[in-house]
Amino acid sequence: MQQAPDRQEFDRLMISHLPVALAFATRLTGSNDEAEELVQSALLKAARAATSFRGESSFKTWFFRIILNSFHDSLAARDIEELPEDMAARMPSPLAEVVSKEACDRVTDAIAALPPRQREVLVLHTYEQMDHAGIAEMLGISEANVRKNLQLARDRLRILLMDYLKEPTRA
Amino acid sequence: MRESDSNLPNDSLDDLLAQATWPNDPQSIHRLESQWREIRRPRYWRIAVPVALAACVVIGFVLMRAPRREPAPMPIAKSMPAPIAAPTAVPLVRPPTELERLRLAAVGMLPPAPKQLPADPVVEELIIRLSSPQIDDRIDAARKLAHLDDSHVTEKLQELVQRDQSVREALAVLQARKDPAAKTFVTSAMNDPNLSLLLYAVRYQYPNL
Repeated sequence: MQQAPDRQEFDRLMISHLPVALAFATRLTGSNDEAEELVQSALLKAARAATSFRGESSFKTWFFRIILNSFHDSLAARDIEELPEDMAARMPSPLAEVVSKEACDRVTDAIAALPPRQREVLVLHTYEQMDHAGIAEMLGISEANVRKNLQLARDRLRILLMDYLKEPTRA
Repeated sequence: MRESDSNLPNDSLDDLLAQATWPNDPQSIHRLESQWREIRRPRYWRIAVPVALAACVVIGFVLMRAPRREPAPMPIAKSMPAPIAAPTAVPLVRPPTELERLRLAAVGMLPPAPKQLPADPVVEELIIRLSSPQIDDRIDAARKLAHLDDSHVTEKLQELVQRDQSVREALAVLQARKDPAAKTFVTSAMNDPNLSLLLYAVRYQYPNL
């Protein structure tokens, strides 16, 4: 078990984790501006809850949980817990010649179009390399729920990114 | 570490997802760092205010618990002070009215009750006639009383004058009588501002009693 860091160590950990936190927030929100606002909100909460970090989990896990809570709060404030089902209709039609930049944009847009819970699970699993148990603990849901949301997210992404996938999807 | 996703298909979706990048804006990182340092900057008033409040509470508690100095007891008088007599100005020749008698009785300065003079039917009748509505009757009674050799007449007339100063014939009789008590009364009455004018008027009104 790690020891709770002192104030200077805590500040150093926070500053060193800001880039990954901002990247995580960007994947969650799909927008740099919204991601920065999300991290700012999380920083305020982290400062108030600094004493609650006792080193029992990694700093990254602790701070990402705060970011997720802030993300949930922002979703509740905007009352967009569930995105419209016709989000796929907003996806632009692929061009014949697909360049890497455009594919990247399509992927980020498709991830942003996922429902929040599916997006959280996908980002944590795919980009933060977290296992199902860790995701379940961070989100406060069961591992089965994590697997189900991850499967739903991947299925929806296959639909949204159908034209960019090289191989046919398996149902 | 992420566990192997054996239940997920190993298709090109993972390759496509890996292409997605979300480049961080260095300015955003810089702003977030500045914000964090600002948040964590020590604010001494956050310590000073609670300390000041705690000090006030402690001082108040100490003041509440401190023994209070009892005020010195008031000295108890061993004897009642002498009553201060109300200043009274009773005219020399006028007896106190009922209200004045009550006030004088309250302060213990009630003058002695007038002596009850022996009743002489002749003198009483003459004195009553002094208040007769007929002027001749009043003058006749006054002449008889002025020359009546009875020491009680002067006292009776003094009583009458003290009761009712409007009976001018009584004053005229007292001025005409030769006994010392009447002379003394007239001398004293001349010093009274009210009676002196009345005496002069009666002297000119009844010069030949």
